[in-house]
Formats: sequence, structure tokens, C-alpha cells
Amino acid sequence: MAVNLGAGRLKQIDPNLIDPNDENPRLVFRQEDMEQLLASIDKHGIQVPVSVFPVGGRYRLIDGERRWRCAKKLRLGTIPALIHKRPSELQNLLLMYNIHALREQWDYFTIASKLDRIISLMAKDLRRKPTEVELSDATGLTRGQIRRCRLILDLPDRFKEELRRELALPKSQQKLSEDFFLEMEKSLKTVFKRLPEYKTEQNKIRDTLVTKFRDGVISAVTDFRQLSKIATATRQLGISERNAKKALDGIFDSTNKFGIRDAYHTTVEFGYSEKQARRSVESLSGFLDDVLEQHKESRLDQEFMKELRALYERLRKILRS
Amino acid sequence: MASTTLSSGSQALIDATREYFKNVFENPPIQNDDRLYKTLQWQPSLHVKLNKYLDVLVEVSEDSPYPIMLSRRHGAVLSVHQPLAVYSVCPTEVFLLPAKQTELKELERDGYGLLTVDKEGNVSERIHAIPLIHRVSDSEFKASLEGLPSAIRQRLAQCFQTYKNKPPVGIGEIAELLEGLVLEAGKRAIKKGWLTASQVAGKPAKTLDGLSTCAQTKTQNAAWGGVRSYIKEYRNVAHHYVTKPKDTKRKFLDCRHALIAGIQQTGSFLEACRKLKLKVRLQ
Repeated sequence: MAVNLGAGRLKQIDPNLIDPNDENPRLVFRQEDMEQLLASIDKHGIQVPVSVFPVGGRYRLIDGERRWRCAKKLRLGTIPALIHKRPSELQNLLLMYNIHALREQWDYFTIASKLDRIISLMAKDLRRKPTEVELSDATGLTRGQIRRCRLILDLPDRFKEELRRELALPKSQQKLSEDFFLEMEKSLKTVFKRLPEYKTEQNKIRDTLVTKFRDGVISAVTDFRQLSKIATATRQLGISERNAKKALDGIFDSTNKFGIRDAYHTTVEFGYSEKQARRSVESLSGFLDDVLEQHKESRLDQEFMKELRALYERLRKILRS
Repeated sequence: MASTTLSSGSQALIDATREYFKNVFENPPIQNDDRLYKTLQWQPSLHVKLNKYLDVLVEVSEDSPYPIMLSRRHGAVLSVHQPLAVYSVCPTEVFLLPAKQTELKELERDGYGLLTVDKEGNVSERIHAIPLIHRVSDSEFKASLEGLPSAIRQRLAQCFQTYKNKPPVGIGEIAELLEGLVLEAGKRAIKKGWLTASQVAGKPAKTLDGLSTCAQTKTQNAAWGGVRSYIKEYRNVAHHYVTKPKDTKRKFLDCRHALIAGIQQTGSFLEACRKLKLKVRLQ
């Protein structure tokens, strides 16, 4: 789906005559990035014109909200702008994605916030729901990015609202991030797939996990990877479903201070470590077989031989017991 | 004009600061002074008009106690010939970061104030901002004390501490210190038999009259005259409601000059006394 508004007419415009674009999915403007741009504009002025279209005697931004914000902060009298003809609603939205998302890493919540609208507008044009490939082609997003957006899009509204409120806070005061929701949703997807009985209580589970994260019981967003590992341990490690569920019940219980790390440590950590050690043993055995087959014993490093001897002593102790 | 925010997390800081000024200063008007902003080439996050003669400009930053806008406009703010107090606002969490302590020192050195906002939106004043036109740095103040006796330096340092919070009151304290020195000089002159008790009568102005006309002391009339006009000008600068433009200038624009001039007058007065062998000691 091509989006082309033509070259545009260059004009110097008072920044106070320009309004931001409501369809700009970008919600987060980080102070550090903005200050760098501000310093550059203060020193060298705006070198690249912003893009706008006329609306009733004023102008609406297509591209350049960060430059426009800096210009207002610096009280610039005029800024260079390319004036385009007014785009359609879908064109306007797609322009936002194609102009911005390709230029820099956007937050997923930012992308997800307008993706739903794009899907419904494209569905109207195509008379069917767009495929992931068509969506990727139109927006310039990769399919992986679209899938991650969907994780956020599929959240119940109140969680999306909670995330939106959190993103409006100064960064140092934000506790929940989109990474938190992405990691939580990915792990819950695994849990619900392996143990579907938890799906009926999914919002209660989300509430508990959010509270435990806010209270520091769950200390890092990466802990959710261990939650997935507990759920998959029934298949990967062969631990009983009863044991896995006991650990998950503890995590999903809002009345205790039982975190994911505690549950992982007491139930499956040893099993996973053992599994990893087995892979290392297999790898070492394979290497030693090669050495013996090719008669390369004399080429082994002395330091390595020392370590092998120490390992042999430890193995004897373990095998004797 | 609505406040202009650079970053998306700034609005919460602006809202909390606006509430703070509303509560502390009983709802002062939030201004939009185009002329001022144009001169400064800076649209502050908030501009609070505390009274006819004092503007407070506020710049918020979500991750720095000393936003780049303030450091880049320091010279411009200093060159505005009207009392402008400038506050930086940042989250409490940022203020407490060890990595930000150098920035905090620089902010204070440059004469800006600091407010912090916690998660609940409570605002705390960490560094008080006095109008930059009144700002005298610690090093400049220390340099101006050179050559003065230690007791006088200590008293002037106390006046300077007051000045840092309320410049006109600090100036008034220097004028009071000078009055004390004049009265002590008068007592010494009586002891030496140069003046009579009735010529002094415990009043600085009368004492200075006596010193100016007495044969033994009138050689130092320049010093007596300087002290007299300083006391007259600044003794009550903090205590009167301003009605005349001349008083306005004195109260709101002259403070910086008055602080330095007060220290110089003290030095000149003590030097005059030393020449006349009048041993002046503070009570």
C-alpha cells in the first residue's frame, strides 16, 4: 500500500500556528533525546524542514514533532516546513509509521496504540482483515514487531490504561513498563498453553503479578522467563504437573510474598541446571572421543589436563556414593 | 499560552509545581510574557508572577536537576534587568542519585533554585532561588571581605546568609552593623574628649554629625559621609511598603550593588577609625 503525498511546498511558518497530529502514535518523548536535539537546534537551527498539512488557517504536523517541540521551547519565530496536501485518515496513520518507526526504535505501546485503527481501516479497503504480511508491508514494521504489538493490544483495557498512565510519569518514577507487560504476557501465554485451567483466572493472575512487581516481590521483568520455565518443566524435565502447579499457585496467590525466583529455585532450578550439565557432559564426551579416535592425546593443553584430573577425582567421589 | 513540555514525562512535574505555587503563594497569576521570553529565547515550563517586582521562571526536567535549557540560558537570564528567580524541577529520585551531585553543585553555583517532586506529587524546596540580579557568589563575597577584622567578617557572613534568602533584609542587617560601628566610634571619641555625650546621644546620625564637625575627626569626612548615605538608603529597605519608583529600584534592583557597597563602606569606616586611633569593637 503506497503512501505518497508528493514533494510539498517549502515555507517558513510560526511554530505557534502548528498543531501536533492526534494520530501520531508516538506518546513517549524522552528528555535525554529531546535535550540533545534542543542543543543542536539552539546552535545550528532547524536544518531539516518539518512536514505539515493545512487545516483551517493553521497547520497539522505529519513529521517533526520533536523539532517542533524544541522550536517552541526555544521560542523560534519561524521554522522551515514542507506543506503537503491533506492526507486521508489511513494515509495519515500509515505516514506516521513509515516516517517514524523506520527511523528509530519506537516503544511497542506507541506502535500498538494505533495499529488497531490501521487494521480496521485496511479491512474496510480490502474488504477482509489484512494478513500479517500485508500489515508489515503497509506499516514498515517487521512481523515480529507486529506480534509483540498484538500482545499489548490484546491486554484488557484497564491494563492498557495503567500502562499509559505509567508512561506519562517521569522515567525515574515509572515502575511498570511495556517490557513488563510484554514479558508477563509472553510467559502467561506459555502457562495457559501448558496448564489451561489457569486461563479462567487470567485477569486475577495479571493483577497479582502487577502488584507483586510493584511491591518488589517480583524483582525484575526477566523473572517472567523463569515463570515460563516452571510451566514447561512438566515436559522438559518431566516433573509432575502437581509440583509445577503448586509452585505456580504460590506465585499467583496475592496473599503471600512468594516471588517467581523463589518458586523457580525451590522447584525446577536444579533440574534445569542438571539438564544444562548433561549437555556439557555430552559435549565433553564428544570431544574426548574425537581426541582418542584421532590419537591427539599429546596435543592436549597441560592446563586442560590438570582440570580433567581434578574432574576425574570429583567424578570418582560422586560415582562411589 | 499553555506550558511547553519537551518530554512526555514532564507534565506530571509541571502540574505538581503549579499546585505548589498555588498553595504556597495563594494562587499567584501564571504569566505569559512574550517580551521576556523573546529576549531569553526560552519558553519556561511555568512563569509565576509573585508580585509586581518578582517573577519566578520554572523549567522542569524528568532526568536532570540542571536541564540543558537553564545552562544554555544562564548568561541571558543574568542580563535581564529585572528580578527573575529561576527554579529547576526534577523528580526526587533523580535528585537523590549520586551521579547527579555534580549537576546539583553547578545548579547552585549558577544561582538557580531547585524543587523536587516525589511519586505522590509532593513538592519540596531543596535550593532556594533568589533573583539572579541579586546573586553574589560565595567566592565573590569572600573576596570582598579581604582585609577586614575577623569579628566583622563573621558578622558580615551572617548578613550574607540572610541575604541569600531575603536580599533586602540582608542589606538592612549590614546597615544595622554600620550603625553599631558608628555608635562604638562615638563612644571612643567621647572617651578621647573629642565629642560630648550630648553630641552623640546614642544616635548614629547625630554621632556622624559630631564626627563630621569635630576638628580631630573631620579629616575623615569622606568615610563618615559614605556611611551616612548608605544607612539612610538601605537601613529600612526591607521594612517599608514600596510606593515610589525610586524605592522600587532600591528594593528590587539595587540589592547586589548594596551588598558589595555595604562591605566596602564597612572597610572604609574601619580604616578611617584606625587612622584616628579610634579602637572600634563590636558588642
